[in-house]
Parts: sequence; C-alpha cells; structure tokens
Amino acid sequence: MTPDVTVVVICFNDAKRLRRAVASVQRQTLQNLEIVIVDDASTDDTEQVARSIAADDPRVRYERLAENSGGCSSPRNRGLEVARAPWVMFCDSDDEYERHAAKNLLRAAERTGADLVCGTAVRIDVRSGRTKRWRPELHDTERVVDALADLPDLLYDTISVNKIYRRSLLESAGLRFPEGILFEDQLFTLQAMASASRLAVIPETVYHWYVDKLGDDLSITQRRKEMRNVDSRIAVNRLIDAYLADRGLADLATVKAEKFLRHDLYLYLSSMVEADDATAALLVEHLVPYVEQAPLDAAWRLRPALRVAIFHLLRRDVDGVRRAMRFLTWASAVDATVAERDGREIWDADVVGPDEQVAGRAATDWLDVTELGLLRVPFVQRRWLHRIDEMTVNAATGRMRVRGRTRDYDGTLRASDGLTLRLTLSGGRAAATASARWDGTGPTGDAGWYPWSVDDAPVAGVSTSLEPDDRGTVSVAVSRGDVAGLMAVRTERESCPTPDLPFTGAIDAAGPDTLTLGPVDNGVVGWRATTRSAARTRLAERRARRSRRPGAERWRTFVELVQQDWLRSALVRLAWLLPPRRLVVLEERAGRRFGGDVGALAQALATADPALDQVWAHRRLPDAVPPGAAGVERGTLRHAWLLARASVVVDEGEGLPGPSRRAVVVDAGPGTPVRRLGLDDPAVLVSRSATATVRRAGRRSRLLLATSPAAADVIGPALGHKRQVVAVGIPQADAVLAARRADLDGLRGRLGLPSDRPVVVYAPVRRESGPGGPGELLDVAEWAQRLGDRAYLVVCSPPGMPLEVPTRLRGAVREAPATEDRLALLGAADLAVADYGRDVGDAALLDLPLVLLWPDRAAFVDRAHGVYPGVTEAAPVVESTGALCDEAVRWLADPRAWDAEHGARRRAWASTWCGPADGRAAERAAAAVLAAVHGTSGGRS
Amino acid sequence: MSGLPRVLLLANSVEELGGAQRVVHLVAQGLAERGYPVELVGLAPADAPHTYVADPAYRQRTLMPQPWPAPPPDARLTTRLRPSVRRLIATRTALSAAAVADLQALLADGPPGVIVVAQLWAMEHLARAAHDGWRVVGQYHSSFEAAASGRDLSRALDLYADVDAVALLTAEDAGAFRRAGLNNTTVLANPLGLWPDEPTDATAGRTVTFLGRLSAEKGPRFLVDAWGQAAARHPDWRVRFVGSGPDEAAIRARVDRLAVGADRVDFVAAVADVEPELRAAGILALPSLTEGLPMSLAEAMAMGLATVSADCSAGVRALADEGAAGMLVPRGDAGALAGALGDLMSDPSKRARLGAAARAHVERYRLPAVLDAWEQLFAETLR
Repeated sequence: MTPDVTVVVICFNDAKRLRRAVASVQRQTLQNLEIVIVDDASTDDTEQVARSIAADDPRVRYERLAENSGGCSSPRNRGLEVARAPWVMFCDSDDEYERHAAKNLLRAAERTGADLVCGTAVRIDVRSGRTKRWRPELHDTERVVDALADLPDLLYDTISVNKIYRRSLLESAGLRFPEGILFEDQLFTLQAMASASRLAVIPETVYHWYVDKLGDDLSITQRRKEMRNVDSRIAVNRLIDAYLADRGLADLATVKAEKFLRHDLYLYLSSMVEADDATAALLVEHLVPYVEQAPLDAAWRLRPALRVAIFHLLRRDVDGVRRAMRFLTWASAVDATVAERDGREIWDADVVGPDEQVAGRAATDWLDVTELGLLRVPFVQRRWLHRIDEMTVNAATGRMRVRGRTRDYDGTLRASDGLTLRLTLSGGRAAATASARWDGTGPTGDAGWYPWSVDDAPVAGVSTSLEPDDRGTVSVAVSRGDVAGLMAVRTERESCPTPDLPFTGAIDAAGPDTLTLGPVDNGVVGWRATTRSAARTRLAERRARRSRRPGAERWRTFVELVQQDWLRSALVRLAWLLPPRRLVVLEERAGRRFGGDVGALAQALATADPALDQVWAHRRLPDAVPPGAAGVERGTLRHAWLLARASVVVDEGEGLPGPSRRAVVVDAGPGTPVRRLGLDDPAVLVSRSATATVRRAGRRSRLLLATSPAAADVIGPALGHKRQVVAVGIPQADAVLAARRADLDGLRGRLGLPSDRPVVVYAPVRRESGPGGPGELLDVAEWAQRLGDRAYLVVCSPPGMPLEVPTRLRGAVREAPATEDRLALLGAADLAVADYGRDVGDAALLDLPLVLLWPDRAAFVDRAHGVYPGVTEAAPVVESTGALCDEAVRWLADPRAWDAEHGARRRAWASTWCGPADGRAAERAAAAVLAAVHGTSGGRS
Repeated sequence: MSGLPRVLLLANSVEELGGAQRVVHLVAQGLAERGYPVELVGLAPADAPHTYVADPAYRQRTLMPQPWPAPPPDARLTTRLRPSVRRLIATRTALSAAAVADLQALLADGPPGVIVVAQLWAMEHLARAAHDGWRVVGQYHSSFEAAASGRDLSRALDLYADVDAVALLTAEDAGAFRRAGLNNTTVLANPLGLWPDEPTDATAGRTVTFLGRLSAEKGPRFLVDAWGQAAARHPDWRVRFVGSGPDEAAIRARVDRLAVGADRVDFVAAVADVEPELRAAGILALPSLTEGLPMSLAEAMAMGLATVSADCSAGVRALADEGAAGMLVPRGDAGALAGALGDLMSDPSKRARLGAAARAHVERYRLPAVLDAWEQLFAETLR
C-alpha cells in the first residue's frame, strides 16, 4: 500500500535526539506513512541508531549522504528524491512532531484541496520547559486561500517544518532547497507557497521546536553576530527578490520588503545592543549595501524607533542604532534627546543637523517620533532609562553600594524641584527600598545624564525562603511628589558588575545560599538565587532522589493527612479547652492582601479596643503584614491554633479558613451591594462543591457585615446565612471619601494624576473566561483618538490581566496595575467606568458620574454571573467603546445636564444598596464586631 | 468475516435508562446492521436493566458484577479509617481492577479494531488496560461550558490528549476544546431516535410540552413561571410535564401557587416512546440551564414541531440554527420564555413555519447520515 505521507527526518551527529524525533513520527496517529532518515554523513553513531530503528520498523528507511553538506538543504533534497508518498513533511532531528500533526495536516489538505497546509509550531525552551506558540497570529484560525497574494501575512511563516506539501506540486515546479546557504527554508517555503494553487492554515499545533537560547552550540541560524549568518540571510533575500521579480509578483515583493525591515533587519539591529563595537561595526558594513538598495517606503509603516535605527544604520552610526534599539528591547526606555521642532517631536534632535538627508528623505522625517508622544507622557508614566555603573557589596554588612545615572530625555528632570529617587530590590515575594542621593550638584548634570548613588541599600526582604533560580530586579523610582512608576535598572551584559550577596535567609538547609547580582534578562539588572555550598547541593540531590523512590508519594500524602487532619483537629480540640484569647485573626483575599474592607475594620478595631491583639494570616508574605500586627502563615498548624483560640476571626467572604468554635466569625461581606451567588437564585447553577463551600462558610459566621439594609436582606439568603447581618456601609471607602472631600487636588497629586483635564477611571472586573484583559474590553486607541486631549483615562487592570499602553497613547491613557489602590483612584476620578464588580457600588457611594461598559453583556450577565440588583437603573449601560465615547462626550459637554439626567437615580440606587456615605462605616463595623464579642464570649466552658 | 474492523463501544453503563445509553444502542445496532462486528461494553450494571433493542445484532456485556457504590462522604483520615468506609473503598478498588482486567482480556481476544469510549470514567478504565494496536475515539456528551465549569475539562485534556480522535457534539464545542489544548478534535453528532414519515400538524396541538427530568438543571420552574405570565391570554392551551425527578414535589407546589393556569398543567411519568407525546404537542419547551446536544429537542424538531429553548449550550444553538429553526431565549429568564411561548401560541402560521424549518434542519441528524459520519471517522482513524 502506498503511504499517505513521507516524513523526511534530517540529522547530523545527533544520535541522541534522532531516536526521539523518529519516535514522534512513528507514534503519529496517522500510521500509514513512511519515514526517510537522511544522514548528512555523521561521524558519531547516528548511522547505527538509524539502522537499528529501520530494522525494527519497515516504514523507516535510512539514507546517507556521501559527504557532509554542512546544511539542511542537501539532506532534505535527498529525502524529496526518494519520497514515494503523495504528501511530504520535514522534521529536524532535534525537534518532534506533535502526535496528531500528520493527520491534521493531511485531513485539512484533503478537505480543502490545498497544495500546502501550514500548522502552528510551538517553541520549547529546553532549559525551563516553557512553551510559546511561534507567531500565533498567523495560525489562530482556519483559513483557505487560492493564492499567497490573498494572505500575504504567510510570508512571515518562513519555516519548512510546520507544513505539509503536495509532492506533485514540488515536482512540477521543480522546487528544491537551495544548497550552500543558511535560511534555505525562507526561499523554499516562499516558492512553494507562491506556486500553490490553494493554501490552507489550521490552528492545531503540529511541531515542537526545541530551542536552547543559552547553549554553547547555539544553532548557526541563531548566531546573529556571525558574518556568515548575516551574509546568508542577505543572500537568501536577494534570491527571493529575484524570484519575485522574475514572476512579476510585485505585490508580494512589497510585503516582503516590509517583512525584511520589520523582522530580519530588526534581529540584527537588536543584536547590536549587546554586541561589542568591532562586531557591531562589521554588522553595519555587511547590512548597509543590501538595505541601501532595498525599497524603504515600508520604513514609514514600522514602529518609529525601528525607523530611527534604520536611519542610523544607513549613516553607519552604531551608537545611534543602539540607542534606538534600546527603546524597542528595553521596555521603551528613552536613550536620546527628544525635542519639539515645528510641531513635531524629533528623536536625537541634538545629534543630527537639520539639513541632513538619508536615502532621499530629510533627517527630520526619519527621526519624527511624534506618534510616540514622548513629550506628552505625564511625569508619573515616564519610562526613564536608568543605567548602572557600579555595584558592590559589603560582605560584612550584606549591604549594597550602587552608582548609576538617569537620562533626562527632554529636560523635565532639570526643570523639576524636589525630585526624589528610590532604589528598590524586589523579587522573592517582597521588596526592600533605599533612598538614593543625587551626585554632584543635584539633577543639573549635563548631556541629559543625572548621576546618583546609594551607599547603604538593604537586601532584607529578599532574604525569606527562596527556591533555586528565584530572581528579582533592581529598579528605580523617580518621583516629584507624584507616585512614580518603577523602572528596572539596565545595562549591557558585558559591562554589568556581578557581585555576590551573602545570603543567610534560607530556612531550608537544601535551599540556595547565594544571591548573585548581575544581568538577568534583556539588559535588566537583578539577582538570582543559586546554591554554592556543596553540602547544600548534596542534600538537595539526596532529597530529590528520595522523593523519586516508589512509595515516597504515598508516604508524603500520609504525612500530610496526619498533619492536615488528625494533628490539626487534635490541636483545635485542645485549644477549645483553653479560655479564648483577646485576639483577632484577619484575612483578606486568602492571605494575599492586607488593606481593603478588612484592613479598614482592623484599624477601627485597633482604635476602639487597643487591647485586642491583631494577627494577619498571609500566604508566604511575612513582610507585607501591616505594622502593629503580627503575621501567621496561612494553612500552618500555628494558623489553626490561633484560629481556634481567637475571639474574633475576620474574613472577606472567600471561604472561611478553619474551625473556630467560640470565635465570632465576621464575614466582611462580598464588598459592595450583592451579586447573585447561587443559593437563592435558581438561574445560576453552581457546582455542588462550590455551593457547599458557600453554605459552610455561611453557617460558620456569626456576624455578617453588609453594606445596607437592602443588601443585608439579599446577602443573608444568598450566602445561606442564618445569623446576624448588620448593615454598616463600605469600610474601606471611609478614607477615600474623606480625602476626596478634603483635598481632591492633593489626592490627585499623590496619585500622579493631572489636574488640567477631567480624570476618567475604568475599573473592569476579572473575567474567568471570554475576553481577557481590559485591552480587549475597551479599545484604548479609539478612546485616545476621540477623547485623548480632553480627558485622562486610567485603566485599572484586574489581577493577572495587565494592560500595556503603547507609548504613543501614554499622554492620554495610563495603566494602573492590579497592585495599585483601585478605590483611591476612583476617589480621584471625575467619571467612573465600571462593569459588574464592586467598583460599581464604590463609584456610586463616592457619588461619581458612572457609566457601565458591558461589551460582553450576553456572556457575562445572561450566562455566567448576573449583576447587582437594579444596577441598570443606576447608570447608563453601553456595549462598545464607540458608545462609551459618545456618552463621555455628552458628559464632558455639560456635566450638570448629564448629572440632572442620571444623578438622581444613581444616588437613589447608592443609598439603597451601598449604605450611608458618611465616612463612618469602619467605625460602625468595629462596634458591631465588639458588641458581638462581648455578647457571646462571656461564658467560659 | 468481512473486511470491516472490530468496533468496541465502551460506556459507563449500557443498562441504565437514559439519553446517552439510547444513543449508544442506536449506533451499535446501526453499525452492526452495516456489517461491523460490534461489541457494546458497559462498566457498571443497573439495578433495573433496560432493554433498548429487542433483537440486537451486536454483542452486549457488562464488566462489573454489581452496581458501582457511591464514594465515601469525604476524604478525611478519620473517615477513611472507619471500617465501613475501608470496606467501601476496598470494594470500589476491587470492582474497578476486575473491570480493567476483564476489559484487557476482551481486547486481547481477537484482532484489534476501533474502541469508541463514551465517557471519561470509561476512558479512565481503558487507560489502565493494555490496548496496543487498537485505535481509540473518545467522546464527550456535554458542552464545553459544562466541562469547564467542573472537573471534566482537566480530566478530558489529560485522558484524551493522545487518543486518535475526540468526537465532540458540535463544531463550536470542538473549537473550544481545541483552544483549551486538545489537538485531535472532530465533530460527530448524535443520531435521531426517530424520523416520522409524516410530520405532525404544527398548528393543531394546544399543549406546551416539557420532556425531561424534573431537576434544577432542566429548569422546569422557569416554564412554570413563564406559564404563570402567559396562561391568562391563552385559555385554550395547556402545559404538560413528561418526566419525573427530585424536584417533582417542588414543581407541583409551584404550579399550585399560580394565580392563573394551575388547572391546565398536567404531570405524567417518563415514557420510553416519546413519539405519541410529541404528536399531541403544540410546542416543545426546553428551559434547561445546561445541556449537551439535547435529543428531545432534536426529535421534536424532527416531528416538525415549533420549539422554544433556553440558549444554554452550543448543541442547543446548533440545533436551533441560531434561532432560525427554533426560538432561543436567555437561560433562566422566565419573562423571555413567556414572551416567546406567547408569540408562538398566538400565531399558528409561525408555528407551521418554524416547524417546517426545524424538520428540514435536523435531517442531518438522521441515523443513516450519522452512521456515514461514523464510518468516515473509522476510515480516517484507521489510516
């Protein structure tokens, strides 16, 4: 029977991995295939391995080239010559095919009639095991086109291994891999795709591409600082240009020219950031002749900084290239002087003469970075470039001395008074900071660089227990009264000092014992935890061996069970025999946060009853526990003990942690108003275990704090709560209400918000599924275009869903990471945009104009979660960015009229559901808690 | 013996009364009639075995000698050390191990072919039995949404990653499972259990019929509430609940509390043959909160009935053709359900139009078409 597919596996001196590659083809779900191993004249035992595989499986054949070709082309071409199946695929000996790859590609080809089908390749880092889809945007949906010109993006799909090819197409077009050069894939795949009379793309993963970024034998195609690599890439591009010209494929040639600048050239330019001067100069000489003659119109469709780098490349200015590329590779840190000329923002305004021309265009056109809006970025959002010059550690004290400098790209630092600078060493779940001092005469240095130093920076905070390979970063915050964003300190790998920090914090004798300072990633300076001591290494190895022994798993489970279950309940029963302690155990977000409603209640409790000891349960965050309170790690035996002995346990409603028979358990309520939680609402089907958890928590609580009487009526039944429910308001809003009423401008200043424009705060909730981050819910580019100059938008990201605002929008939009205080930001807002979460209630309580943005209304409200009662009465609902902008424009035009239309209903809703806005909610909450304690804990057993 | 491969259908149970079991027997009989040597294997027996096919052309067997006992109440050590719980755990372990051994013997007895695994629990047993040479097709009979809301999704991703194909009920579900990480998805609908030569007269009936268990996830209470809102304006219509279940008493009590229409609600026990019920119906209502590809809806559509369904799964959306072949309302929304039912009750021409569209749309779920798809899947799997 003829095989359906021929898979050509090429190898050279790779006996070790060849077996894995071939096995991945042998165990394909498509069994009717043949495997041709082509050996590029290996000198190790590749031949024996291949022959033994072939002897065991009749589908495998072994072909050996007479002499080594040094590339991939000759072996693949040999494979093509001996292939018998109507379809062909290629695999490299160090990679693998996904188990269903051949069948998925073949089925798609047969179903669509395509000559060539592309699937997704996944890159796997061999060291960390991390996986990443390669160019996922190319393969995210199934597509079929009749010509490459209909889907020119496929020009970026330049690898040959993620595809299946109709062999008759290759034969009739006479296609072979070009021999004697690298990047042979690029020409071959382009020719094959251009010749195909139908192309298909499938979203399934087909290829596992193993990448070793740190290996000594970095694959030749990744060694971008070698001239053979550059020359080959240029040679392939010339061949492709010639092929496209030959065929008269002008449209594709345009796309390809852009792809060269955007992708190929980018790789070499960014490698110049880290390359030494001689190599960088050589790279320039090898690149310029090709770039000069390439069509450069596409440069104006590229990111501005890449265009600037190309400009400097053409001027053979290595320093200029590096500074522009740093912007692209170092998180948009600006390493240039930016100034305004004729209403345009010009990069390197001090370096380049006004009349200079390059490639027929004025220098100012090349250097026009107005689109980035660097001069309009508010101070607090500036991405300063902080470089590090010296870093030493005092072995005796374990403290650091750091010298560095900060680039003032437009003179803002020079013009500012009262600048402060703090150095932060973060990572390992904590951070330590120290003030830095401006050297010389303060921030008045020249050439835009301001030197600073820190003599005595602590490294405490990272010295809790660490795992090997934990890492952290050294960052700097520059503030001018504003809250400043942290920006990592950066330098080139070569020039980065690498002192060791003595580190004694490891609780575990097998843990790491040294923090090595130095480059961690992409120019970032930081530390990495390593194990130096041979004894620690041996202990760690011995433990690893022991844990692999059969039965070890069951033993661990048994020990855990005893600790978790038996010992714990024994302890708890013992604690119950003792009189209760005047102690409150506090917990918020399962031990991840210490502010919020629980935090506000804790402060009020401390004022009302100073004799009541406070202990915060935390999840391995001992350093984050508020001052004045003790900490206990969640889930430990000590935690169980304290819970059992406490007279009050306060939780924020995410499931109470443990048994506490006599304590008054306070559930600080799920924030503002009420959302459907399941028990009282038949339209919400929650899983039985989730229902049970909610019921159990409800049964354990003796007191539930709700926001308002109406909310109390709903929340009790919703949580299956049989005990006392007290309406108090929103404790954590007290401080914000006070600050907003006392000094709104001061509040804005502290948060780094502008006072010249209205501030709009957008606070979406976290979605479990459906659209991911705020960027998908709100089109910030559209907002900025319509309202950017009239209002300032702050987007509060939900946890784990950060929003990256492009530099060019930063004058109009600011991202607030999940760590920032949402409620404080709302307190400083003029208009709030929220959707389903507690922010709706918070904004209503603060009496803010409010718009509800519900782009995923159907999925969220109708299918999954539901919303607060009557909330559609509280504020206008919009379902798209366009509609939101319309509403905001109406509000901006006449806030009074807008308020007359919507304000009364919102205020009515707020007073029904959010409680009184008198700033005394925490006080009432504390009083309710203390009343419950005194009322119930009198009798000792 | 013909050249056709052995087909082994493995399910949690083949004796229980239920929709999934009916489908398995239907497919087994159909494939057997087309010449495949079919064996239908269930893991656990039923207390009261149900006979689906009077004269089966396939072999049927159940591996466990006694019904599968319920798990212990919790996993605490103190619970686990109780003698009764230890006996229970031992029984479960022994039953499961014996089933795996029997299954392995069955697989080794004769040439390998194709195993179709109907549920994840069955797959957990197959994974422990040697099945070299056999090609495996895994099925999942609920929607992706239902899988993702419980533990099924991670189980499915784990158990089904390497099988030859995973057959999902709709293209939407297959896409969602693929995005979640399965690379071997394909679409295979369940077949209709009936295809009447003559459709029913969609304008004749004056009954809104509910077919299914009276339990929370089937949403009967929303139909009661909707009826409470619509009954007054449609005095010649009745509502008929066909089925029983844990919520029956609560539903009856809810009906009794209705101000209007309580006297026009009937309750009858579940029936094995639904055709007479459907023929007497005017509208079929499916107010469920969760579904897969509900066959009661498909069969009502095959009869040419107008239907109103809660938009609760990709399967419902596919059957209703996004509203073109059956009305869709948001789930858990009695008001919307009342509105849609009212529309249909007062407009016979709309019932006729929708009924005709429904019957045309579900032609693709007729048994021969579905069996063709099975055969094509076998051919692809065996390549």
